[in-house]
Amino acid sequence: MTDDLAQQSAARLATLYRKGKASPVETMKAVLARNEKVGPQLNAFTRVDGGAALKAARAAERRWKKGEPLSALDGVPVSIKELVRVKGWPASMGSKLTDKAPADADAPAVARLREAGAIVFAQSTSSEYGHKGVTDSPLNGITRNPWQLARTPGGSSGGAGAAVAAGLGPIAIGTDGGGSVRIPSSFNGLVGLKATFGRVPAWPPSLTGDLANTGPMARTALDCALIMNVISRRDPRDAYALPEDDTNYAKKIDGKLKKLKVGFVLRFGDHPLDIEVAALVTRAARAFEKLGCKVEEVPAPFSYADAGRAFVVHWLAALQRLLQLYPESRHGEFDPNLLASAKAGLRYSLQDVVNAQVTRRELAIAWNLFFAKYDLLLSPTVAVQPFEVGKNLPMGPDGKANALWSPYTSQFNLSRHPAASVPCGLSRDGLPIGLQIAAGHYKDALVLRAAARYAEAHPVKFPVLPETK
Amino acid sequence: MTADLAMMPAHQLVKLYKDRKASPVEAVRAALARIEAFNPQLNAFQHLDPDAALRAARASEKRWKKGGKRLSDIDGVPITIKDMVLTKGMPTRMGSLATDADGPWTVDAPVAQRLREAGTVLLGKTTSPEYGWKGVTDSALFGATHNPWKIGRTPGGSSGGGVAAEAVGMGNLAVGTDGAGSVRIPCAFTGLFGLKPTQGRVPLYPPSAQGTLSHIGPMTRTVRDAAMMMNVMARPDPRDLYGRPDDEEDYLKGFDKGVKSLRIAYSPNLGFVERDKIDRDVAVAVENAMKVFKTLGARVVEDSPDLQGLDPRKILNAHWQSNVVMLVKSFSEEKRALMDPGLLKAAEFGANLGQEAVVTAIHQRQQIGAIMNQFMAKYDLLLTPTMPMTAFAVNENGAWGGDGIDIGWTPFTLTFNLTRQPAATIPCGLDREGLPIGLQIVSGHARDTLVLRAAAAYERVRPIPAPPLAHQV
Repeated sequence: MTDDLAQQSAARLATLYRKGKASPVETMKAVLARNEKVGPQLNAFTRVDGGAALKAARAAERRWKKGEPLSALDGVPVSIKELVRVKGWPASMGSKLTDKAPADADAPAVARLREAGAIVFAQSTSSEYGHKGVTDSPLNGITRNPWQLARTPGGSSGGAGAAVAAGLGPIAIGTDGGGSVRIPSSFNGLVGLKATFGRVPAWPPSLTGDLANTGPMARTALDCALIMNVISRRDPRDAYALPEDDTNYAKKIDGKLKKLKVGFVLRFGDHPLDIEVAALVTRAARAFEKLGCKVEEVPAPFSYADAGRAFVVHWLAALQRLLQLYPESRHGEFDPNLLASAKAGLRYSLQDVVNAQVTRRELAIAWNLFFAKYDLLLSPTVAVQPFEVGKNLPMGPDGKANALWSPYTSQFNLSRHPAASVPCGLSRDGLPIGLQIAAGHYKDALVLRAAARYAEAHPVKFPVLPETK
Repeated sequence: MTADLAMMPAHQLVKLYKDRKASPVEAVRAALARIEAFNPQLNAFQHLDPDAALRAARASEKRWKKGGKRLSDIDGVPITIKDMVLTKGMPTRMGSLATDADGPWTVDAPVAQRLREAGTVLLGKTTSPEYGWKGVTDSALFGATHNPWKIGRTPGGSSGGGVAAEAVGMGNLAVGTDGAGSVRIPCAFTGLFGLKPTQGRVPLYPPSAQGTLSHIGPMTRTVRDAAMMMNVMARPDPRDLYGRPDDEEDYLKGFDKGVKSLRIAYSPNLGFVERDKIDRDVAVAVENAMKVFKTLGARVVEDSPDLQGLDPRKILNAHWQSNVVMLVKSFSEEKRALMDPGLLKAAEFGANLGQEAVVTAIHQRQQIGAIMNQFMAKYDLLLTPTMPMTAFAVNENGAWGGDGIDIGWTPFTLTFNLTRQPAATIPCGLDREGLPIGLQIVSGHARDTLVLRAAAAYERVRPIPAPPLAHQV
């Protein structure tokens, strides 16, 4: 039973709590026990605060007993990526260089989760400053994928992805500046949402500015909706926050997809695409017809080469500030890939940067017009299957490192549209493949509804991971 | 009677239409008469199309007749649009000799489209400095635009043509654009009401070279007219990549509710503007305006944000100077020779800023946004001067003899382009020379309606006067 509690969704836990069939303390103990057992293999957490977690669980237990839970997430364990501030823990950012003094304030999402009674029990790993789409760092070493320990969980929210898939807390908070919620969600068989920019308040301002988004990762779309109900609420510290709209994401997840117009884009451009990914995602897109949608296969509305370049310029020019923030004498302690990236960022001219901004605007308009025509976009989330750990890039079909392995996610960081990943099957190697679902600005609830309807009709049987023999 | 129609607030004009005491055709003729009388001195128009205006007016007249269906509450109201906003069938030159004089003029920007759909009558396009690059209004294309309060003074800019027209009844409504203050500077200098809405509230297309610094807003002789314009202009358009969620806001909601019990911060220097840079008459007029809010029942306290050493002037300069680099580069060398030397110099300056400085400024913009957001969490409204000075001589690129490349002479307005908050200006008195002074009213994101409501409360006790010139028909 205890191990079982570690495999339940947050929504299911709330039902069990309400009926008195399980308690937050039991859940917390199950999760901590499971972490003892499988945590060391995965290296998903930088820290686990069992003592404080159990204390919070006991308080939640009292509230449920009185019939006065703070929210549907009261007593639900949640882990927080190390790029997001948690009061009392260092904002370590996967870096040896960051100040390791405890943070003196919670980031907005963490503050809201605590107010909702969720148990902030662990900090999950990230690549250094979230700069790459896999998860290893000079500070924490390699994080592994529970579906196959030799594979990467993706990144940069790889700790969060591995943890939720392995039953180390049913829900997690990740961040997504170029795909860092969606890539690990795809690689770990989870549902993850990068909401419309500004929908989830964040603080302090990210190094990568308005590319960065805080987002939910879970095993079900409903759990993501429950998290959105909490973390999308107002916080005056975020200058880019959208006006609060009181959307109940969990309620809006119900309902059919009938008559929606769906644009299916298999390729965003001239990039390699794994044949199994292509097959599974195409099958998933067809399945939307059965859900009542009108699916049209269409080309991408914007040049992939231009979009890719605009993103890279934005990204590297932002990372370049790290070289200013830390003295040169310590630059050797950076992940070599991050140092090289930051230095590459420094080489861009001002004109490159301004040009990239102009391209970004053109790209965003192109997608806006796409979404004026189609209610939803479907595409692969990632162009490859989860690849070997310890590598920054997978091997391409030509036998060389493939720098274009994640062509689908970052366009929606540039354009600010909501986009989720939902699992759409397993490859022959038993590795999860993700379907990306995106929509027009502010249609986050629609994205989650589409994810929910699809997932219900095509459930992924979630094994107990890593497989315990 | 005709002269009166031209100076009449739009909300009163449409009442006359409704009662059939006046018609859109009469209103357009009245405006055209004033254009004939005043435009030679003021030079407010880049393009005029009286025939098209009369045609549109006649169509509107039919809609106001019995059994007709009017398109909006401002159907048939004569309006002008700045030369920076695309209009179908009318040239948009961006105040530049380098743009193509032959068009084609096939697209309406969202705002132009919404205003046409609402039945307003477009009289013409108003002057702007080249690409709105400076806070005054002169260009090689059209020469200098003058201030109706005093010929020889600038109306401010970059929406200087729009305000010069609006102040003397060459149109009943005006549309301006604001990237660092270009709606509020000229409204302050010519004694008008002007609103820079929350960024993303009024859709923009094509995207400005200035990105999210750029805004479109109403410039009017009454606050109510601006609210009525917002009800038309602030509707979503898929071409705007930054459009906010459609909130179907009625900008006249609670319009008459006053400011009683509202929490207002009064900041004479916004926490960073050197006191000796603020004209004494301006400081006194703004302080008096603040006291009016007190007598109206608002809870006013003097308080300024702690900007933690960040200087909005430097942040904005780095943004706009770097943005014009690409703008200028997009023209051939031949065309560049036709461009304002000041703009070219700004681009040269921008090109030498260095990428690190600009990336840092982008990050600092976020920081200042977070600071202002937390400050505004304590208050409903913030009052500051709109400008540190009143209108200065024409043909200067900036105040204090500056070259216009440093836009720091308008520190109060530019701060809210960085933070994207709604900010309006309303006249609050005249200086020793009889030139208008503006009070800036700011609120938190998406609280545009509250800004309008507060301005309306102030306007009820301090109505907006017209310049003496407007009476010399």
